[in-house]
Amino acid sequence: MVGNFVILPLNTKYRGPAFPANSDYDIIDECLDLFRANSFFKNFEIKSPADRVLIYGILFVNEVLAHLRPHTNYNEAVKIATNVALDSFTIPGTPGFPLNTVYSVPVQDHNAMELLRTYIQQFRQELAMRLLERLYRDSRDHPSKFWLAFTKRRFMNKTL
Amino acid sequence: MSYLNNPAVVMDNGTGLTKLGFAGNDSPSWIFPTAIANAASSNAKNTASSSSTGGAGLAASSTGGSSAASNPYFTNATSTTNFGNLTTASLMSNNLSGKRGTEDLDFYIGNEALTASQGANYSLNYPIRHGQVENWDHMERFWENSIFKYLRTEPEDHFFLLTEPPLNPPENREQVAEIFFESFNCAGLYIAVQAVLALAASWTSSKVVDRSLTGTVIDSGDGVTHVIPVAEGYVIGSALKNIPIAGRDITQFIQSLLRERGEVDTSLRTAERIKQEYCYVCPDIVKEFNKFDRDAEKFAQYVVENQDKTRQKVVDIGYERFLAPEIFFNPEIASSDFLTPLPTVLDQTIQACPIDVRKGLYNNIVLSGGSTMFKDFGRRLQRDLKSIVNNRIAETERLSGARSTGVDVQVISHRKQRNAVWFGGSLLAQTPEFKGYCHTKKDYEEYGPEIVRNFSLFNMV
Amino acid sequence: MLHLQPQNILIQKTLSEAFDALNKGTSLTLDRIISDFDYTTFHVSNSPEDKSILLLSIRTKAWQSVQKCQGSIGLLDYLQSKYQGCSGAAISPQPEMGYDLTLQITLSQLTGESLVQLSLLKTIVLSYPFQLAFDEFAQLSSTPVPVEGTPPVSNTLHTVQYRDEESLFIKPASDRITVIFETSFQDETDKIFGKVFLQEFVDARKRNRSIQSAPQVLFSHEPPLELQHQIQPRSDPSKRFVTFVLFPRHFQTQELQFNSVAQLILFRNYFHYHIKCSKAYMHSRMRFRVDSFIKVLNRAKVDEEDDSKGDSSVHAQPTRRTITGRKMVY
Repeated sequence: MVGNFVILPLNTKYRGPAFPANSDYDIIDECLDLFRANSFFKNFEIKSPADRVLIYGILFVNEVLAHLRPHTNYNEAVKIATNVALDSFTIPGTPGFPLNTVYSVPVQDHNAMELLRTYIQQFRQELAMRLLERLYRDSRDHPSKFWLAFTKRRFMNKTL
Repeated sequence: MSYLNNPAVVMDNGTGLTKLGFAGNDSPSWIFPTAIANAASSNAKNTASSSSTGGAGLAASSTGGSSAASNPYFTNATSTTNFGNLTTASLMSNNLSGKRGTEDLDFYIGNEALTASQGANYSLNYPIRHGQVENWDHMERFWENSIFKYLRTEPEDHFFLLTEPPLNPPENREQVAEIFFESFNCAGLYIAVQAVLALAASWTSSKVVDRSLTGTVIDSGDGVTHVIPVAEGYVIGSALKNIPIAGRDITQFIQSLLRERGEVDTSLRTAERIKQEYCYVCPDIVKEFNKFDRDAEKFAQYVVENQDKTRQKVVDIGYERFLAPEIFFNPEIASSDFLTPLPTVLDQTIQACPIDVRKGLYNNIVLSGGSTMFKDFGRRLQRDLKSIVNNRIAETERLSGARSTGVDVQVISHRKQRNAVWFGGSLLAQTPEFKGYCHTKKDYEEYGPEIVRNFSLFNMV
Repeated sequence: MLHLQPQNILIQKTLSEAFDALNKGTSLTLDRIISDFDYTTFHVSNSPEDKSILLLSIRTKAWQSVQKCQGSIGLLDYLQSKYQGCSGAAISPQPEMGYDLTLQITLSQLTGESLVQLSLLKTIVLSYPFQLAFDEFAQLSSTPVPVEGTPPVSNTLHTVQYRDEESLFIKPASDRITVIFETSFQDETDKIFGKVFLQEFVDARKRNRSIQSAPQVLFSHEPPLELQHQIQPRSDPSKRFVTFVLFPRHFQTQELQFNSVAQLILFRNYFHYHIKCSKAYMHSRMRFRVDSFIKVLNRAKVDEEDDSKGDSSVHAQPTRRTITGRKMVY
């Protein structure tokens, strides 16, 4: 737990601070499952700290989708997604992040912030890869247009 | 009195569509837009041209006689003709002169009106706005044509059942009576509230045990959705609520989804067909998304044929199948200004009613109109409303410690839902008692138009 | 302009819907009542055994009197001959309970032409006495006229009682066929309008050269000579008589015959439609007048509400208004 951003366990092969999850279904699956339904909503009620991770995940999925084109094939998409995931990003709660009312993190605590940064890095990489698995399930040549259609939806009216 | 054998005529004039037919039939004989195409009045043109010549004449005479003489059009531009022009113009605005012809007979209604209005000579009008008649001249002609041309009836030989929206002012009823008795000499007239007819239509459902006229009607057409509580045949006007979400919004939402996906055809027509043929209500949208992932057969395709049927466009249909009707239950996904879900509005409506009728209102929720035709619409509504009601009961029980007897929530769907209002009218008008409830031409002549302010209710038990 | 079509467009629509549905493989279940002018009711239903066979029954006020018309050919035989060539339709031997005649329609054999023919059912039933008159005319006119003396006179007068109060009479002669309509109005206003319209029918021919070929129209309060044996003079003072004189040029060919008959049969309906339209027109003029008067009155109105608020709030009773903004009448 860093501030009110919770470090949830992930099933991932990327290196980072997260513990391996003890079930098959982790926060990343949840993000992907809820992404499509939630992107229609402009209001979201936070009921537990995990919901903050979920919000970040949904916004990030939208970010990745925005970088894909209807004819991007799988290999190109992997490159694009990795770049997006590894790009420099603002940590929730720090100045410049669009949804700072939701997040509060100990900006002063250098160690904690470093932990959060690496966790989010790991989270982004894993989420991007698993998103691509879903996008290219039917065909390796182009992403599912039903997913791409969600690019134009703004969850809570925000983008990363 | 041989008109007793003639079937009564049932007319349901809605904002968008008019349903016409004979009592005893199971569906309306004619359904067409409540539209009338009038000949673009030569009167207006004359007024315009005469006033412009008048103006030009003035200008000409002020610049001098030479220009007036050089132009044959202005040769008579003397002050007297100016005066003449002005008088004709003022007379025309009085609607008296200029109408020597038969322009008032030159009009089309319904689908023919839509076709005619594509030409230059006709202008299209919709005489009903928000359920209420706005233009009585047009409405009177609309009725003329529907009675004679489409129903082929002599109004003197038939009884008529008309419908009116809830909260229709009594003056409007009187207008209707004036038209039907004075212009058409109809044998008898009954004006029924649409919601009450919708309740009556639900009697055909097997779920309805007692034929009561108490219940909540959800009437969703093209433009607006009404939630109307009815107690023993009377609309509880103070509790009535409107929702600005109806068929047209669903169609537009589908269209926006199609556009976002960049489908080859994103016309409103296509969106409407998709709405009618493919949409359904799902119990839970997140689960439904996953169902689509697992089962590719859920994705459908709609083939758009263009007019000459040479080229075909294929539109893929995805999540809009269940997302579109979802806007009733989660308006947030499509609109930003109206956010209350239908079950909540329904609950608020019933809670605003007197406490002794609430049970009856929860128990008999009747659907009516085309936009309630989605598969499982009633089931979802019943489930959502039930959970709202149960939560409240649990809360009161916790606070008061007393046991509640519980409230039965029942939403009734039936097969005549689409034209429920018309069908209810047809049911009532075919009963032998119907003619006794009507006001007849004789009554009208005796008492005048105010007799139609009151109609006795049907008690059919 | 309204041109009433001789066929019932609702029957046409219903049958073609059933036809299309059958072709798509989903046969419609039908049990519908369709109405037509002058106490005519149709009933369209599925045959109990086979869904692809429809029954079309007609009940009309005129049936009884049409049946009584005497002629060379019986009514049923006449109808039989009319529907012989119409594929997919046959007269059922036993009419449905409560109806005068039932046609059996085999949907799969229906053609566009027979569809129209079926929706003309009422017109065809009513055309029977006209047909008799045409036949008799042909017979009379072919009889050589004696050199001196009068041409042969027929004593036939076909009476069709198509409404309770009104009948039409058809009288063939050797050089013409006279069709007489009795008209009466239930409503006083209609009577006046009707009179104007009927007079116009008579006068229009005189004024307008382009319609010289139209049948001559006469209008009288007294029953015309042709009817004087039939009706007591002035039996009902409110009755008027409209006489159309058809000359051979109006019924020389089959097509002309049909057109004349169809138009004559719809005469009363057309006539009444226009009376109603004129009333509607008067109404719209009245509404316009009232609106303009109200505008004048409104200009004269002093703003009362502000005044009453000013001097005494006791009298300032809230005026109850309806949704249109009018004051409630108690």
